[in-house]
Amino acid sequence: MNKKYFLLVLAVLGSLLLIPTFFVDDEPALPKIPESLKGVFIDSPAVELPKFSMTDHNNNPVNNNMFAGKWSLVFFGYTSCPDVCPTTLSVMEKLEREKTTPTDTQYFFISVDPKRDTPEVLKEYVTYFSDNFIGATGPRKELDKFKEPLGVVYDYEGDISSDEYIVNHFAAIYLIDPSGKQRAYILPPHGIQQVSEAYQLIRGHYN
Amino acid sequence: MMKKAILAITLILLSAPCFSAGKLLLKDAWVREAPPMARNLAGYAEVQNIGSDTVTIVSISSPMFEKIEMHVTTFNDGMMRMEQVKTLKLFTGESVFFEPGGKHFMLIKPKQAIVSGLKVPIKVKLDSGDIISFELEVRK
Repeated sequence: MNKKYFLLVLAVLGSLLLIPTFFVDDEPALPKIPESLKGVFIDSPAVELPKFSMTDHNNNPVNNNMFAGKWSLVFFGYTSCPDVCPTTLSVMEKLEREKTTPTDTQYFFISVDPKRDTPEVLKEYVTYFSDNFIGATGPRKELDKFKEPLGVVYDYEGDISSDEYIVNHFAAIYLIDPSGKQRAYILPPHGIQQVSEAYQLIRGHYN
Repeated sequence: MMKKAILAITLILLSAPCFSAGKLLLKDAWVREAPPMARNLAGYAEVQNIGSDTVTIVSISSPMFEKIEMHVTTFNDGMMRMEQVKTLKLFTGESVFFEPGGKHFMLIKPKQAIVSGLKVPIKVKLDSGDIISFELEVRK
């Protein structure tokens, strides 16, 4: 009787030990973003990217594999954008030149204006900022796949049969990990300090 | 009094890249250099009304561009939109900042290569009919 009672107590105590595991998330601890760092949002769990196929600035087909093996910074925009896109790409160029190497980080500019931004136009545009930058675009059917998981919304304003229309677009920089999942995004307006600090912090945390 | 005025004018003339013409002052006026194929570029400056009357900018032009418009970039939860600012009213002493991610001069369809170091001449037209010339310096 005593022995049975002892086993019961042991079983209850044992199950108590298991309880905390129910409250622990599958994800490891999240990187801590200091309050001074504005506009940086961590995705937990990491966001799976849609299966896509696009064309890069050298006219080669690309798909999700382009993100494999390295961390990537990805920005969606269009080349006729006078203010925000060149500002953000200048920040990315500065980060590339000062803080990262081509062997550890990739930089992508994906155009949501495939009508005007042909691979030839994209090539001239992205390589102006850096020879290592990769431009890509695809039909709207492919670009629209990013709307749900990543929030890449865009619309055209003005006469789209002319070449003067404006493209309004979501202008975050996405941080994609080497397995091709989105780990975080950084809202505009972008500054070198903000993007650099966010990238080092998030990358350092998951590496 | 006269001496002070001369000193003031000399100081203004020396403090390049500032351009003033009695009514308006453009401080740190610049254009971001863009890839050669760029259709649109952006110009920035601090625009100050240094005159004694309220002024309204009604149009801007440059021989180097097909047209120039004033625009404002707005962000709503990361969604970037651009809206045209048709006219800009400035009270006496008031400064309006044209800066990346905010108000900017949208320089549409360059007629020549716009490279660092180049000075872009612009003419700012006021509602009074005054036309004032300024220069924007191209830089990265």
